[in-house]
Amino acid sequence: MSGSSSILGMNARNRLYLIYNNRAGRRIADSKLLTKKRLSKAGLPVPKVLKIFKTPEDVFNFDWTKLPESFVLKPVSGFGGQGIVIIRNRAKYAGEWWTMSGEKIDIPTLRLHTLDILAGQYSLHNLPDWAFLEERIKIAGIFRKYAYRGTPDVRVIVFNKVPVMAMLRLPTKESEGKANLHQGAIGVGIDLATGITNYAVCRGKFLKYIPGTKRKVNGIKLPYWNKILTLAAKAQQAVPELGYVGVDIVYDKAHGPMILELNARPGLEIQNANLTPLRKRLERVEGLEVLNAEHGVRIARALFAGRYADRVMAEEGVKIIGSKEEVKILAADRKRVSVWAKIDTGAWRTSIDKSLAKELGLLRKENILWTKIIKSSLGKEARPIIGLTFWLAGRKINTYAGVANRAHLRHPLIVGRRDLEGFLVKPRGES
Amino acid sequence: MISGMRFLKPLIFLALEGGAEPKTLAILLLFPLLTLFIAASRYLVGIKALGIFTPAILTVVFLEMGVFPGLGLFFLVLLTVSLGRVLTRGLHLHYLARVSLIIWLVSLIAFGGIFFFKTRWVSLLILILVGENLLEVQISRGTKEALSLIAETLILAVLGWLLLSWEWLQKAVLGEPEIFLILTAVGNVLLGRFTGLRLLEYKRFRRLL
Repeated sequence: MSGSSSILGMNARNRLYLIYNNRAGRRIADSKLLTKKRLSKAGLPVPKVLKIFKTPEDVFNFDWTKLPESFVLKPVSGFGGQGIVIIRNRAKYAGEWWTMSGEKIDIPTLRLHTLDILAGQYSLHNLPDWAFLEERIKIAGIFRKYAYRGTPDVRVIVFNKVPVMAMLRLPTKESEGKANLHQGAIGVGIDLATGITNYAVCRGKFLKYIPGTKRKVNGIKLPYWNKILTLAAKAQQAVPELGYVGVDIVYDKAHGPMILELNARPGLEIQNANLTPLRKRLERVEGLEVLNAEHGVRIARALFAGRYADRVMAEEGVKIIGSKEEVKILAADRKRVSVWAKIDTGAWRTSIDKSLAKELGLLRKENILWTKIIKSSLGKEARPIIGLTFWLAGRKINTYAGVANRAHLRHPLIVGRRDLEGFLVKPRGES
Repeated sequence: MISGMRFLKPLIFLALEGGAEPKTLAILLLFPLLTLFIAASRYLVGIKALGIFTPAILTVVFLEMGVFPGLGLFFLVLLTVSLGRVLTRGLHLHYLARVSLIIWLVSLIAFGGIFFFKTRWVSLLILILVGENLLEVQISRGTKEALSLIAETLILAVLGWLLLSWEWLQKAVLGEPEIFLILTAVGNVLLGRFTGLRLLEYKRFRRLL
C-alpha cells in the first residue's frame, strides 16, 4: 500500500513528535484533574467531578450515602484504566451499589479501595496519589450494541491543531469493559471526512465482525462527527504544551460528546485500525499555519478523506469520463454551480481559477487551508490551497485545490490525478 | 597522525606487563560494544528487555561463572523473587521494606547456592541485586509482561555472552582498541538519530506496507 517511511514507528514518534510535548504538558495529561481544570476553563465539556479525596481523613469524613445513583471512582494519576470502579446503580439497601462488572459493593469496600488509591497502588511508579469521584457517562444508544459493558470512546490524534487520525475504541469481555487497546479492546478506524468506520483490529488481529456478533465493524456512522473533531482540536488548542496528543472523547446520552482525558504519548495501533500510515499525515501537517481549531478540522477533512476507490469501483464499476467534463462545485452559499473542467492526468492536485473561486465565496479566510509558495518562470508566487467539494459524473468529491490565475485559459477548473481514483479517462471528447 | 591515534595501545602493553590478563582487558574494551548491542536491539529490532544495566551485568556474570551455572542461578533467583512476592503480598509492607525482605530470602538461597556453584562472591552478590530488578518489573508491569521482558533480557544476556567470549573479537579489540572505541561511539550517535521502523514493527504493520 505504501512504503515503510510513511508508517509511524516507535523511534519516529519518540524522536520527531513527542518532542512537541513538554514536561508541563505531560504533567497535565498525567493528572486527570489538571486536564479537567484546563479544559473546562477553555469552555470544553468534561464529566463533572463530585468529590476529590486528598487525605485518608477526606475518605472517612465523606458522607457516601449522599452519592447519586451511579458514579465512577478513579485515581487521579492512574494509567491504562487501572484502579477504576464504575458504579451502575443502587442495590436494595442504602450504602450498597452494583458495579459495572455485576458485583455488589458497599461503603467499607469503597473506602478501602479509595485508601489503596491514595497509597499509590494504581499510580505511575506507585507514588502517593489522590482519588476522585466523577459522574458516570451513560452510554449513548448507538454504541450499546457494540460494546461489552464499559464505555466506548473515540480517540483522536491531534497535531498542530489538526486532527490527523481517529478510531473508535470498543471495550470487550477480555478488556473488562476498558477502552484500552493494550487491555484487549477493539480499535475501529474512522474516516476523518465522514465519520464512518472502516477497519478494525484487536490484539494485532484484523476483524470483519465484532467478536461474538454478526455486526460488521465497518460502515458505522458516528454521530456529531464534526463536533467530535472540533472538540479534539480545541482540546489541543487549550493545552498548547502538548503539540502531539491523543484526545479521548465519550458520548454521553444526555450531554453529547465530552472529553474524558488526554494522552501525551498516544499509541501506534491506530494505524492498523485505519489501515493507514500516520507519519506521512503528520509530515503534511507539520509547520502549517493553522489559525484555530475549526480551521484545523477543515484541513483534516480535506486532506485525509478516505478515497474508497476500491469499494466504489466494486459497487458501481469504473466510470468512464472524457477529457472535458461538466462538474458542479459547491459554493459558499451551499448552491451548486456548474462549470466545465479539464480532466488532467498530468496534474496531481486539482486547481481552480482565482476569480471563479472568489465568485463562489471559496476564498474566504476560513476556507484557505494553507498557502504554498511556488517558484515558476515568473518568479515566486503565493498560491492559496482551499477546501473544495464538487460532483464529477455524479460522484461527490471532497478535496482541496490550488488557486491559480487561469483567466486566460479555456477551463476555470482542472481536475488532477489525486481526485480521479475510480475513473477512466477517455483521451478524446466528452463522456 | 596515525601514531597520535594510537593512544590506547601503549596502555595495553603497560597493563599486560603489570600482570593483567589479556582476556580481562579484552572484555573491558569490548564492554561499550555490548551496551551498543543492547541499545541496538531495542531501536533496530524492537527488543525491549530491562534497560541496559540488567542484561549487561548478566553477561558479566555469565562470563565470570560460565553460562550454564549462571543461568541456573539466575532461574533460582527468579523463582525465589516470584515466590517472595507472593508470600509478602498479604503483609502490606512499605515498598522498600518488602524488597529488602525478599532480598533477605534470595540471599539465604544464594548462600545455599555457593555450595553447588563454584564461583566468586561478586557474581553471587550481583545476581542477588538483579533480583531487585526482577521484582520491580513484576510489581510494576504485571506478571505476563514482566515475564516477556525478563525472557528478552535473558536472550540479550546470552547473545552478549556469545559476543564477548568470541576469541577472534577479543584479539581484534586488543590489536585495534582505538578503532573499536571510535566505531562504538559513532554507532551510538547514529543509532540515537535513527527514526526508521524497528524490525518487529515491520511485522506489526505488515498490512500497511
